Amino acid sequence: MFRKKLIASLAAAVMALGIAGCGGGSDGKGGAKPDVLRIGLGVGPVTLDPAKDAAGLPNVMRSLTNEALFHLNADKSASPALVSDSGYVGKGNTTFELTLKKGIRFTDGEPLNAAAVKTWLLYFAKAGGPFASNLSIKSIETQGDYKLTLHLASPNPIVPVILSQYGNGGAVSSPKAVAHPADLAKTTYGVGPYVIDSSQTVAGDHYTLVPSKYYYDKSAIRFKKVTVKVISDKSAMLRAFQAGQLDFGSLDPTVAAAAAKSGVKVMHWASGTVIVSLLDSKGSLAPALGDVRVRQALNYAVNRKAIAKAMVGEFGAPTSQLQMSDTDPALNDRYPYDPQKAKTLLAEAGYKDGFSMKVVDGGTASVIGDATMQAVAKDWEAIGVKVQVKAATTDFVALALSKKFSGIEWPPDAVPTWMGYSLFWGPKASLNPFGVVNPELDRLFELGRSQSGDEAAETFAKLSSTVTEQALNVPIYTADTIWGMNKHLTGIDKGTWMPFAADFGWKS
Amino acid sequence: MVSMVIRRVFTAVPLLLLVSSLSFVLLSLTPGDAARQILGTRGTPEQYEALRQQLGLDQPVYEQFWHWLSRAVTGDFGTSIINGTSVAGEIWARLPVTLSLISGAILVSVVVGVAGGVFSAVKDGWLARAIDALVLVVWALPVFWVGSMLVVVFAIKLEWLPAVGYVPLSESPTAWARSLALPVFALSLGSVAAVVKQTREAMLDVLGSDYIRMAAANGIPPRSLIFRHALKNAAIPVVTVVGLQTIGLFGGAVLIENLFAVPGLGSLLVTSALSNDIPAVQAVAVVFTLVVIIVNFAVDIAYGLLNPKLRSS
Repeated sequence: MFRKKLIASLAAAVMALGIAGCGGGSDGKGGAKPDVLRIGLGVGPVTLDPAKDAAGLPNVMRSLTNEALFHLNADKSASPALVSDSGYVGKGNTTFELTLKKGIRFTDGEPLNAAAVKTWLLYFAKAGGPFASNLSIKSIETQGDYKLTLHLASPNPIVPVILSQYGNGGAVSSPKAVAHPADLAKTTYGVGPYVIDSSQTVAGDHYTLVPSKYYYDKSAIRFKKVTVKVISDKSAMLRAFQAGQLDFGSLDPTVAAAAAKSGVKVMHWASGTVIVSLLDSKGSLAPALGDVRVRQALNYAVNRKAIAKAMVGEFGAPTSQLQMSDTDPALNDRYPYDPQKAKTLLAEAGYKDGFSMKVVDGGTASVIGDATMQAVAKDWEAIGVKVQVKAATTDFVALALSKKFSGIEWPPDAVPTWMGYSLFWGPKASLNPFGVVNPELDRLFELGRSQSGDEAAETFAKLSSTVTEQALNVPIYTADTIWGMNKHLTGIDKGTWMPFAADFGWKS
Repeated sequence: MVSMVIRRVFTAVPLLLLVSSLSFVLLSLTPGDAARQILGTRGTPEQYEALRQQLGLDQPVYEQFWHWLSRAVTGDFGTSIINGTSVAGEIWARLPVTLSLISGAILVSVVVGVAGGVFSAVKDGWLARAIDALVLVVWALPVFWVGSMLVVVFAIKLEWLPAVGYVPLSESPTAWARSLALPVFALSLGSVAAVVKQTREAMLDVLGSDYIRMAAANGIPPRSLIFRHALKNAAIPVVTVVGLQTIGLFGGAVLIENLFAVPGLGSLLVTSALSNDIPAVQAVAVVFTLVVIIVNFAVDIAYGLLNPKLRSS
């Protein structure tokens, strides 16, 4: 009798699971607009405090909770968002004025005003986040409730970009929360259509966003809830899409083709470059690298077309230059594959028999990084350059800055050229461990940062082409940002630095 | 019993101290630190030094450890140096998830494993031999492969169960069970094989002993012979295996939680270790050590219940 009851109970439980499985919630495959938008990201925010967080994938979520002062467009320009009027004052790009829109509130009900923005920008500069040094502010003046004047310690021609969603500088948060930074780590206090519900959130795993009752544009709130699931395993992300558990999410080249084949709509566009940065371009460790002909030889030796095809296929393209905001497309094939020319250049520089150097492979940063570096090393070996590759894990940056490696293989984003100089080539750049001084780049940077409009663009384009001519990197291929999505999802602006989830809608 | 508890508590203290100090030192020796993780490639040397100072990473390792220990003994695990959230809060949020996963896997392992082992030992013939062979095959299967195949069949093809994620029990018991079904099954498969194998060996050993033959000769029915007399004596090595498997399941949970994107302690450990978040790693290490201590304690108690001679000694 007992056994029969047990079997019956088990059968009922299995049926219940099965039935629940068949009938449970929206599977995302139907056309009707769902109440919940489900996003999957390969990387979650390090912290919910925009002043301390990195950028990248988490900015998809941040666009829902922290509207920025300016909006970064697909063409890399920035247009006013929470700002009604703005511009540089006088010449030299050291004074910037902005006027805020009126009637806007943070998610805690506090008003967005000049004092709040001043508090935020001063906090942002001191919070110790990765973008803190983007804007060196000397002082901030407020005039009335809505007008601010930023006085900069050094000229900066891209203040609107820095105050956009790029780099989090514009993700202004409520002054009440800024006064207690621990609160900023628990939930969001921005101006945005949604706010994080911390009771339904487990940091690092999933985030639940609910509509903000104070957002000024109710029509922008198109879903009753948005869930953001962090799925670091690329195969798990693919399976989540295939099982209909996601409406939008990040993919990578290793799973994108499989996703498309199984019916997931896949969009992709260039967002960065996989390169070997020759940090030791003055030849401290490997003297040969101090000669521009040797660096150019390394560029000619790489069969980019073959490597790009094998590594990323349709999700990238071979390129000879580091992609930045002002790169000239004509230089994408500046160094065609020519091993013979590479050998000739090495011989001219006095390195007929080649030389040796050490390179850090930041394989974890780019899924296909390890294989890419091995392929490049093989091409270099063919011209007599022996490379000792050190595969990095979480110690990538520490190794890169250790002054023990002549180069690093990694996939930097397509940053504004101004920012590229500050990151890579300036005497105090964060990725210039050997303290290489490059007078021509310094001159162009000094000139460009005080200019505006076409004049500045021309100078920065010259800076970008000089980097390519001096062969300070060995670029290999452009790396696409790849997204999978429900076919009914709208509002994805192809070409943007990062999709702006606040624009997402649904078309049945 | 009381003396055993006191003995266990006294041995637990140095064990916790050893594990926590080892994990602290090892993590501190890892190249890179939390300040590097936060700043990435963008921080200037000045920013990096300032952040190290702000996070207390410029202090000698022993001072950092002492600072952590003096707070941890009061139950204060501090805040994550990466995201500023309470580590204790993170642990409490994730512990039920991992416990659900592990409890489910143990339940499946014991029920299926003991049943399979007894059946295989008692019933001779092709089916018993097939179970024995199947156990070896299952044992050899990599967990991540099993997990992936389960998702392909049950989540993608049949659409019965979710491929990733976890639903709290408080939100919906059915959805909770569904979200755990595949991870539990994938996690328990190796343990089921181990328990089947151990149960079968132990049962064969006991069933071949003199007192069982004597009992059978005295007319005790086979069912009573197997379940009341043989299984109880065969249970001691099985309990040992279950105890070891339980501890091993915590290791397996790290992989399974990542594979199924389940927010448990295993995934917290991975993300915290990758970002050099020492307070979070330390807290998880302490919790896992406590689990090992508790499981060993439970195994000792089970020994006592199963064998009166051990109880009296």
